[in-house]
Amino acid sequence: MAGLIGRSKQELRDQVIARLGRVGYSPRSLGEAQRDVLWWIWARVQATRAMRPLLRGWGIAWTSGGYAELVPSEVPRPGRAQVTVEVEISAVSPGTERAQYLHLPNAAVGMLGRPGYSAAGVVAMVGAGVEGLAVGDRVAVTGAAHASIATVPATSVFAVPPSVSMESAALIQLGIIGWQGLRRAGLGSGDRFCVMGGGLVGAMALRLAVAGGSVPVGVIARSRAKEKVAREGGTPAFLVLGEDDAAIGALGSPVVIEATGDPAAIAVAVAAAGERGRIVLLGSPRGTTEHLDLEEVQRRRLEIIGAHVDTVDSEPALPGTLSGRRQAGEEFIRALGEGRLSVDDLAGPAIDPREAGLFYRRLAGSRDLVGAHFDWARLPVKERVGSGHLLRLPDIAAKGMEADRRPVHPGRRWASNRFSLEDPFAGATGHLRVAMLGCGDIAVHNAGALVRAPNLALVSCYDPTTRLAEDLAGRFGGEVAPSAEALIGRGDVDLVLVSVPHHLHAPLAIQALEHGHHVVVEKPVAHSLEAAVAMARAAQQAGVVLSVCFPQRYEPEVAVARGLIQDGALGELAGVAIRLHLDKTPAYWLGGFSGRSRSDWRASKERAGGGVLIMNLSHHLDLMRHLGGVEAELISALRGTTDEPREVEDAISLSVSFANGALGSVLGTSAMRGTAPEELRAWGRHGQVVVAPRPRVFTLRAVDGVRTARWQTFGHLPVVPARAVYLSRLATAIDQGRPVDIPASDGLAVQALIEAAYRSSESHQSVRPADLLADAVK
Amino acid sequence: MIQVRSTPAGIVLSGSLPVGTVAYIDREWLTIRDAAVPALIVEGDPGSARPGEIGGDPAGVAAAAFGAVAAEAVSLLDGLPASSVEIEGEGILAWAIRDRLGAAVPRAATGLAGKIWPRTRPDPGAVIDTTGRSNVIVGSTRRLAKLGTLVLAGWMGQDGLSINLYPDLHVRGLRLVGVPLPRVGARTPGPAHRLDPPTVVALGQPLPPARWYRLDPETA
Repeated sequence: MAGLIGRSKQELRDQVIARLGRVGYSPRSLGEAQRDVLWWIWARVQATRAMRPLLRGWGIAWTSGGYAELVPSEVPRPGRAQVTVEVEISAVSPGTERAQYLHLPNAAVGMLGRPGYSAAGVVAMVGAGVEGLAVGDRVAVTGAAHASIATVPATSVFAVPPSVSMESAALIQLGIIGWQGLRRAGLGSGDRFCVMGGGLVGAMALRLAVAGGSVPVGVIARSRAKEKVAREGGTPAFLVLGEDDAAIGALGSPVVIEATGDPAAIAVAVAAAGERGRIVLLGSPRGTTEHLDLEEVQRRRLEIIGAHVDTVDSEPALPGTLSGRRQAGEEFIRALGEGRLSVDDLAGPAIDPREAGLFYRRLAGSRDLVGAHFDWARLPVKERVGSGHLLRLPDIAAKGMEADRRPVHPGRRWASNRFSLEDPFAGATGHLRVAMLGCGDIAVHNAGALVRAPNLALVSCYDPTTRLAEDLAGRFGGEVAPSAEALIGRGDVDLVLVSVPHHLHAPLAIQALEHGHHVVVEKPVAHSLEAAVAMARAAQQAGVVLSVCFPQRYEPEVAVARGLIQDGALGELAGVAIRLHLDKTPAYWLGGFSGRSRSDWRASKERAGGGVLIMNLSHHLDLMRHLGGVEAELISALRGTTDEPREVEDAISLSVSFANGALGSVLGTSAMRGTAPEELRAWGRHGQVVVAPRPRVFTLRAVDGVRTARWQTFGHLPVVPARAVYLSRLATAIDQGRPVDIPASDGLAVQALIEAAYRSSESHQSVRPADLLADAVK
Repeated sequence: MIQVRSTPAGIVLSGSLPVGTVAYIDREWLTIRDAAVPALIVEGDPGSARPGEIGGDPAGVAAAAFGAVAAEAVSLLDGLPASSVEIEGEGILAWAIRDRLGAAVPRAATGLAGKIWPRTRPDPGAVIDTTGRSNVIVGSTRRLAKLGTLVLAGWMGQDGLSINLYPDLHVRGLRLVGVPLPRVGARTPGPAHRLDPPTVVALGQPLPPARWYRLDPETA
């Protein structure tokens, strides 16, 4: 029967999870919804029990396996004998919180558990019956989790004098822990002792003992990483396991304070202890101690004493005296205030609470950190403490947990100028007169952009097919030139915009450059790297601008993404993924996507220079450079023709190795039936930015306007005439004599990537784009 | 070296003793089969009537040695009432400790009684272990009251103790303290406690139930 009951419960559970999955819940977001509901219930139980309204702030929580983030935190206003504290600093206990974060043994944190237990701040509210504390008092608080606000019993609150820093006061619980260890050890003035472990608990115990007149004989640790802190705590010797084993065995210390948290360390403590020595377990061992040698404990009459802080009040206080915890806390603050104890350096670096996820990842991988603290003053003032609402519904949407489901949107709380773009034409100056060579497919878009931009005008156009030029001039203005030479020879032209088949870019552009005109070419620069270099050389010799039209840089999602990356949302670039899936029908090969200009040049390797890579992915390669900010160092490529046999590829795959070690993957095809969403994403150690298919960001960094550790969209971005913006900014730069956004060098860099990919696919070897470019410019 | 072996006839001792010595073995030291066991080796003729004199009557020396261990173990209880102390083991050392503590010292409950009995009694403030067995030791840590004391007076060389120090020692602030095995020459202040005489056995002879054993040179 028990087995049947178990099966049906499991089946029911699986069914519920499956149904929730259909409405968008993953196991991870389901866990988050559960957590939020439990905390919602808990807060309301507390508030109802105390018959007090709720207050709202922010706190750090473990939201799902391996993630820590800032989440809303609700506490009741203070009831009888309670105090609400607006927290300024909450101290990190690195050993404990690292163990909790990594789910190490003896470090379980239930769904209602939150990290942290020691803080300092200012009294915000005082409950009835509380004496000796007033609003505005500086206080240290025990039992306060990492949060901007805490309501605690008044007995957990200790007044802090002005001479004591908040960073030091926030270590109060660590001080109580250390004090309890010394008390259990029976350590008094003049007594000799040693400490095992250079972490925060060990360092605190060392300093407290020295402040009490005890005499350290040494600190034992696994490495020298924390030696400086230990020496500053007063130890005369710092002994490293594996290097100083003989010295450790010869210590003969009457008291050994074991603060490593390593279950195997007890064996070293036994070795370091003298006859009838007392070994005090102050660190919480993370695991089972195997084969503890009790023969030695017995032979030398050693004592092993547990000293967990929970035992500090195990012996009832005598009437009229303070409890053990209270006594320890007050003595800690008093020692700080009187200058007998200094622990400022143990407070460690200040951490922005919004970067909790990043901090715990670092903590997980590093054993060198002695201490750290969350600085709650880094949150906006109005976010730290506010009114809660008892009737607020729990947030079961678990927004932003998954990349493709229910992201967070920039709203009131996360509002920032980042997502509202300025007038793209603001600051436009000058008036550039433009002539267009080529009036086909893409030229219509370029002409429309010219008209849209406030500081350019179309004065003339030419196309071998006269009707195309007449159509363009009729729609967008300007005169039809009788020939390309005539157009280039006009004296009323400042810039020539070249929108012709790739193999004609170089001869026409060079002619225009030699006439002293600035030139914009449609991407790519040319059909070959050699031709592109010739164009750049001509521009340089003529002293005029050569730019390549990569208008996607000005799409609002690209601009936002670049801003996020520049503000550190990714950290250092670690990877890029680009996917482009097109379906070029037979009509495309005869006239492009629009069929406006009939020509089969796109199917010709000689005239186009290649297929989907040079024709379409050149934009994405430029964005890869524009967003990532790191040059590609090595290209490996495979290409093929999967549809009707053609001279040019309809499928290509690139593996890119960047100069900083990042890796990229580029995949493009023009023969996918039904197509698929385009993809462009970049990631680093701190986060990820997606430009396509759905622009959004996930970052562990505190970046303006972005909620950390949740997927957030870019909001409703305005439609921007990207091509017009590109041309307008180009015109402004030329007018003001400034460098243009997209100089010839950018075009050459992309051309080199394309060339490297084609060569790699032929030779089956990796190719360095920089080497190709260097050879081409010789 | 004295060893204990299992045979079809029962548990027997094997090995050899130096000439002119006798060996005293607590029954709790005999839990590991086919292994060496500790023994209190005492010089002298067991028949000589010089009790309590070092190098004299071995029985007196042994009584003093075991008595000293019992006294030391009891001294570590910091004045706890006997009703709050439990003793693990059924050998002579356990008996001596119980005798020293006085009447009504409860035996530690094991087996079925252990599943029922502990619920009717408060957690002990101290446990003195004379068994040296790791499962008994760990069980004792879990039974102890907060801040309790576990005295290790048994033979600790039987097996390596695997213990989760965090819940079994650290969290409740327990104190684990070692007392060495009986040794010749150890004495306790005050009158020596009388111990019941050991059961005299020979090498290779199946051991009858007893609190402790004496292995004579004549029988070795």
